[in-house]
Amino acid sequence: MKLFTAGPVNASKNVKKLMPYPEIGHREPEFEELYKNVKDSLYKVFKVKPEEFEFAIIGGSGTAAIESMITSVVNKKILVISNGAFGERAYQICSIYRMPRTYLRYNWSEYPNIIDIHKILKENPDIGFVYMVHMETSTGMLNPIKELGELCNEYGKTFLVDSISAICCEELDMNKFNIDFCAFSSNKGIGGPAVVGMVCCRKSKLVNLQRRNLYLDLSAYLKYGKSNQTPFTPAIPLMYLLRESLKDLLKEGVENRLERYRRNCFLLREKLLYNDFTFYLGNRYNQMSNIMTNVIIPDGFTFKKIHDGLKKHGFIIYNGKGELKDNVMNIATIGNLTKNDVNDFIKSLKKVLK
Amino acid sequence: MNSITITEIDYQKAIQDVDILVHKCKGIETLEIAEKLKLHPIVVLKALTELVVNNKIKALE
Repeated sequence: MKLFTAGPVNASKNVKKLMPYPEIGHREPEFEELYKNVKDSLYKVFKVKPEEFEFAIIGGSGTAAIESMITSVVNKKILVISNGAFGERAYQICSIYRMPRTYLRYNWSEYPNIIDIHKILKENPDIGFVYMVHMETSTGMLNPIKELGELCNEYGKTFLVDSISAICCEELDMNKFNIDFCAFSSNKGIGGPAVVGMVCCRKSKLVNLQRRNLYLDLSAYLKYGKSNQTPFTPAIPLMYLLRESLKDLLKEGVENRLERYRRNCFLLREKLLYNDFTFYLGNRYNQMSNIMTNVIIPDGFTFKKIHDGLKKHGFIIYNGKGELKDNVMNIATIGNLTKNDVNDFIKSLKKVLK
Repeated sequence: MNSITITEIDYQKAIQDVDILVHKCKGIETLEIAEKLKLHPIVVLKALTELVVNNKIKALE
């Protein structure tokens, strides 16, 4: 296809070698078919009906999806509950846009207390929205989404969830958990390329949407999405990769993938335990996620030394965020990893620490 | 959070059973132990932690 368009454009031969997909115009039926395919798969992944929910597909990282969700949906005071870097980031968004807000900020690794939240909701009827991160990557903690959803339902609050690190890794049910808006991304548990942010929106809550920005205006994405289009130039290569990732996910089955992640994670934790590692969340295994294990860096070692040593063996890990950057390493067991990969990782880690 | 209720007596019994099994079947994994002993995997991991902390299974790996 020769593109006589102002963008996308035909790439050079050199660039084309890295692009195993057709070059199409985004205002053409070929793109609309691609978009529809992605959208249809998302309904299957979330097990929700088009009559009840709509998906917005945004060109940007998970943070773009969160910023779009918060800034477009919130039209009354929002209660942001945080216990890690990503909850704090959401509050930062609310602050930058000067939105009416209340902050329930726990220390990192502290488990949110539903009784505290209950009290706040009871005493503050002006709160219309509640926000929480499903799985806090910075600590590896799985937050009480289901319990909070029940509270939101009881008090008639709109419930916003950041499920970016939890999608296809933890149980997620929009109706059972009373979630109204859920931000997620193409990466993480879905296993696709990074930088396609998405929001699953409950249709009955799509009222009085705000327009606080241009590129992240959720209503524009929803409006264009109805005809399988995007308001701005989409990342076509990523959409192709996302389509394939969703195809693989549905072939494996969401429950099977979750189980694979869970098995890998239990294996990793058990091996780390046998090798005298301690976890950032201690032995609070019931508060830990299915995919993220945050480990205390052993005395006498630095993150750099462990990271560089593992890299030589073909493994990459990240360090902790913020206050944990020097003393915690984050080991995630998501994506196309097998039991053998986990065992090999542990063997290499042992060699690095010798 | 995964809510798991277990009495102290049952938990102590779980630690004993896990201890016996990991020594009997070297290399057995958490989920296999959970299946064999009909325990929640989180209870098994917690029991393993206690055994490791008390130096009872350190030599296994």
